[in-house]
Amino acid sequence: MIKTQVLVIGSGPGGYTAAFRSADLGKEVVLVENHDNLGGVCLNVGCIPSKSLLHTAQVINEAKSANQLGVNFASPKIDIEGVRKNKEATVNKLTAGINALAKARKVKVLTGYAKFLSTNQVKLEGTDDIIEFEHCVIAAGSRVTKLPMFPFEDERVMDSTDALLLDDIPKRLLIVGGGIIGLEMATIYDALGSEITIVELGEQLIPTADKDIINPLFKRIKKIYSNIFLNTKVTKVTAIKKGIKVSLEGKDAPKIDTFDKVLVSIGRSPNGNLLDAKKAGVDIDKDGFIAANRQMKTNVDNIFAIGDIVGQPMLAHKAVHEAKVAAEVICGQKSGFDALTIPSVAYTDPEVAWTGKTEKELKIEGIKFKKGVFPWAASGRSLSIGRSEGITKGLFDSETGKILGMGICGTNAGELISEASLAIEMGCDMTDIALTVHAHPTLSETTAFAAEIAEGTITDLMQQKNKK
Amino acid sequence: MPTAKNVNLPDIGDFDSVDVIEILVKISDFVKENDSIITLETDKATMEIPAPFSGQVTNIAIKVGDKISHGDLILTVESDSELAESDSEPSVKLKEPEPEPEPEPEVSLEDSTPAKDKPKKLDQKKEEISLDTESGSHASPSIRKLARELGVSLSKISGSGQKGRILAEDLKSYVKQIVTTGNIDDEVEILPLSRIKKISGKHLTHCWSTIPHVTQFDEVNIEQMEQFRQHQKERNIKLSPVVFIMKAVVQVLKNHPSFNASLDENSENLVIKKYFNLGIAVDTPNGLVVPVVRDVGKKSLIELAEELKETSERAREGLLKPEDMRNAGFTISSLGGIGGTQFTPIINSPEVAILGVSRTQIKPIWNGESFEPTAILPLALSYDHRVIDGAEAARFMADLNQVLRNITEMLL
Repeated sequence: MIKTQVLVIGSGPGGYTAAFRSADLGKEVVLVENHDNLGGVCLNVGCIPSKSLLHTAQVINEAKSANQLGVNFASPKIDIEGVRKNKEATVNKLTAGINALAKARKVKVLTGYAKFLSTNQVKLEGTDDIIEFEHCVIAAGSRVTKLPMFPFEDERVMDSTDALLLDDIPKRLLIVGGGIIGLEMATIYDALGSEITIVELGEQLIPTADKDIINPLFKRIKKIYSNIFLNTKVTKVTAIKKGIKVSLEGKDAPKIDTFDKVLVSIGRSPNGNLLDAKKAGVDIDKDGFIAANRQMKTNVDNIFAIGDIVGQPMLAHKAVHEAKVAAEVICGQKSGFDALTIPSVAYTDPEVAWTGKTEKELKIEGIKFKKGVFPWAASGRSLSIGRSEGITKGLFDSETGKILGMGICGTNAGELISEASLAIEMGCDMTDIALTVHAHPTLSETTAFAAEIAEGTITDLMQQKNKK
Repeated sequence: MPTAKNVNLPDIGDFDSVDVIEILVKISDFVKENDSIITLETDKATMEIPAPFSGQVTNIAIKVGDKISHGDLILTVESDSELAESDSEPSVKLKEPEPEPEPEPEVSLEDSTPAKDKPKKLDQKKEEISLDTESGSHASPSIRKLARELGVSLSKISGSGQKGRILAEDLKSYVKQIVTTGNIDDEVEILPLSRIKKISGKHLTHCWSTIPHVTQFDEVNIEQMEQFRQHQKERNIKLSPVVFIMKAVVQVLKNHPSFNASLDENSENLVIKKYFNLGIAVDTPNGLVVPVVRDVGKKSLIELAEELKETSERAREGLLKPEDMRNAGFTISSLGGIGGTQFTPIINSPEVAILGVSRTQIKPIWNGESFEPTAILPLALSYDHRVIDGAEAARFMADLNQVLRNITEMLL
């Protein structure tokens, strides 16, 4: 029997943050991880390896387009083993770092699958190890959603984890699901030489984002990829010798096509049902989510839950902030999760990022807003890096001018969006943003330009309306 | 089959668009005939509307804050007898058991377009701290953190920073204010004003700040009146001094018509009233109301005493209707039953004068030879100096004194 003050289940960004923050506040902490490496999906089979591969993709693409700059590189030779090794090195460096941080904080790391026995005990599955805790933070995350219609037993049918392993580079790759994960994998495999086909059920890629900020990406990849089928459904998937035979239902899509490999990226499901949490009395909804209040407390007083397992959006940066709240509340601080915005980023080429409210949401909620859209074709910085697509869109309250949301598509959109998130948290209005001197020429000035357009003070473009 | 009956707003006098301030029933409540169902408020009074018949409320067509008029649908009620029939059916359905969560979540391809769900949140009541971000003013993350630590709800604070932002200083001064005014030694309690006080407060402020008041004091020897009252009391007829004052006032008003008048909206014309209706200020548990006794001149002392008693009771029970409080020409406010030597009453606009009555005292009065114990009634006449001159007011008071001193003059 191991006794501890705080038990954290899961070592993803949420889990290790909860463990480290609790330890820093003076608690005895045990961190349980099912996998060999710490870091969870994000570090091992998610954000980090995908970003490593996306960087590789970017280098390949930039070398290819260097001919526009008057520099010609020979066609690249892809050493897939080398690409894989670089990715693994990055992952290992980070997971080793987490191990070191855990050690330095005297957080006890145990490997195993924790299952609840009661409100203050878990057992590590397959062992006799019982851990007794005063407080528990469930940070057990989510897993790839797998539908029975896809024959995952055939290794040519992949989920995102399989795809990141980079076993080979298929000639023709079908990606089912045009969300962020699917599009990022498309970016990687396209650069490595695959012919990409994307099937998306919705009427646009990344359906939660506004269509106009997806458009520059859509226009660009439509030309590069073999096919993007919107409003299209996969009805049947069979593994045959020649490849994976897929039946499609959609206006433009062929009825049947065969691909060398298929990547299924249709979403993630929370792991709420896999922990015997009911034995602790924790409520789990029918989808497997565990509800938590804004202090990250579940219905059971000493059990907290954070990250993917408590709800959408399933994003590491949300989990990290929730983790700090949970740890602080456990340690008696008056903490709570009251962030006004959680930004979203797709690391595609060009990137797409948005924060605050989308235009869709504002319309549904009936909030009156002013919009300022700055096209990057007028950005000196964007043109000088050889890219003319991209937009920055600011959404402002039509009465007070307060920033409500921002959407960006273009190079480094993921980096640029943080300014808007800070503006939202600080309650800036369009004038605050427009009057903040942004360095020139930068991509970040497009944020100020979008505010100027909404205000009617833009000079880098002809003002359409709102002239002031 | 039970049929629904509609309850519409009955005729409540010539009011249109009356505010609904309270709904006293909920859907599925049983109401009895004459049970109050809603409370309405005009600028003068609040009134409760009774249910015209018994039954179960099945629909409420209005909400608090609505303005309704005669004939508007208030709610729908299923009548008693019909409900008795439906009683044979079980009224409570057994709840279907919640489906067991499946080990593998049900996901369809449709889930590839996940709705951007807000994170599911538990009942916020379980939260031990205030996480109120719905403030009208903006608060940055560090200020929200400080508010959580201080246990302050941001919705109670209006920011003093640029664009109304809440600053750390705002939080600190709010807490300081609580600490300095709300500590155990001098505990305070915040009580919202009653509806009547809120309404009359506005009116009083208007009267006080727009009318140039002058108050004329006098003392009246009411020995004769007291003897008469004593005599009637022995005959079991109880007459309060107020009814005599009412009678006397009307008699004097007849000779001083500008006191039974009001200024028109532009303060250019005096509207002289040819009728003699007196407003009588009545103290009720909810605040001051001023019901009107009509045609005082035509009523006997006994009739006035009975009417006054009945009106005061209705006022205390909150049953006055708006029309009970309209069309006074002059108002009397008597605190004689309580005490005090004098006070300065506020004129009830658009009237131009008001008489304040304090407690009768026995004073030694020189009768030429000796001091004689005499019943003395203190009076205070506040008048609108735009309409009435000091000399006129003094004459009014002198005449009133004369009538009250010699009550037989009332016979004239």
